Amino acid sequence: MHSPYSRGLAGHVNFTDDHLYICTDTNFWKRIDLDKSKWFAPESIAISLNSGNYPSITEIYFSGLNAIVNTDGDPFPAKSSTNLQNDGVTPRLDFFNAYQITDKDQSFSFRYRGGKNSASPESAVSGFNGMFANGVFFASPRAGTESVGIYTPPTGFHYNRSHFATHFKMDDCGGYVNFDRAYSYYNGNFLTRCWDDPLVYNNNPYYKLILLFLYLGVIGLAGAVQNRPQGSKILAILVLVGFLDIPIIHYSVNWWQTLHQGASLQLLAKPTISGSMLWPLLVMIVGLMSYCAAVILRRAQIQVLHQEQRCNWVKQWVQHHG
Amino acid sequence: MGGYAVYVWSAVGLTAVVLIGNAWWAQYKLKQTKRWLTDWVVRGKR
Repeated sequence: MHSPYSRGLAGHVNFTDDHLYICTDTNFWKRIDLDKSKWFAPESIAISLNSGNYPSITEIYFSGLNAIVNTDGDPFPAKSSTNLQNDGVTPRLDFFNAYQITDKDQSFSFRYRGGKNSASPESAVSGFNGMFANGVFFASPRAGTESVGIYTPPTGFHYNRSHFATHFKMDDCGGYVNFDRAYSYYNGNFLTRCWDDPLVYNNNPYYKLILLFLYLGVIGLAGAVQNRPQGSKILAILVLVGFLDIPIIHYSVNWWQTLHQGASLQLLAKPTISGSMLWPLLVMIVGLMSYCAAVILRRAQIQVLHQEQRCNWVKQWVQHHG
Repeated sequence: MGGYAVYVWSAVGLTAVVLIGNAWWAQYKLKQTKRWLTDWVVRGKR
């Protein structure tokens, strides 16, 4: 099933403007089409209440994609069974108001994902009312039997990470915020987009290009020389000179200003790689070195046998091993 | 992520083919050289 996330665990939820995705099993997502008007109906969320013990005036209107909320700002939730006038002047000393918050006009602007509110503002629905496209939960103050402390956010108000991940998708570094609220990368686009950028990674290919030319030169020279023993000496000198390029490639990272990442493995320093990658890497290095040594020695053996074919030891060797 | 597995396994397979093929080739050339030396150097068919 298609989803912005191919990986997920049962219970993960994610949505776009059009679809709701529910992870029903590991890496298996169920897609549900969203009806925008049902998802967030603007007609039902106006919150003006001019009557009762705690009157407040709140206007909600829409300007473009933004929902504008103007309120006279009841800064402190009204407590049930108390009778206080919200005149905007009298401080509510009967409440726990450590920060001496007074009434203050508020004007909020939210990006809104539903349609336009053509209806007149209605009475507020207590608690959770809706959600805006910037991930803000829209909740009205709650008047109930429970006391509401100023240290806890309103019910239903929290950082909406699934929406954040969907809305912002991959950022310029290829990452996103995952369901565990950690910054993560989800596919190879990260490597393409980040590591291809010379501002991030500069791999100095020119020394490797020189090495390629040297290698081609060695092959060409080996094919061109007729006089074998002398040609071999010339070849050997070329190889030794060419090998000088290897440490230049290796240390160019440190010698010249570059954005290449530093060495991960050093002889005398603690490796910066995590153990789960370090040991496979070391095993593979040893394995590849052993393989290369074996193949090179075998090739050298063939070469020596050809060159020394007239010698007695070759005859003896062939009789023993041939 | 699933779409990338084919590239990963292609790289693994190609590497294996190159490594095994190279080792096999070196071994094959050594046998060839031995046979050549046996026929032409030791038995004097030169």
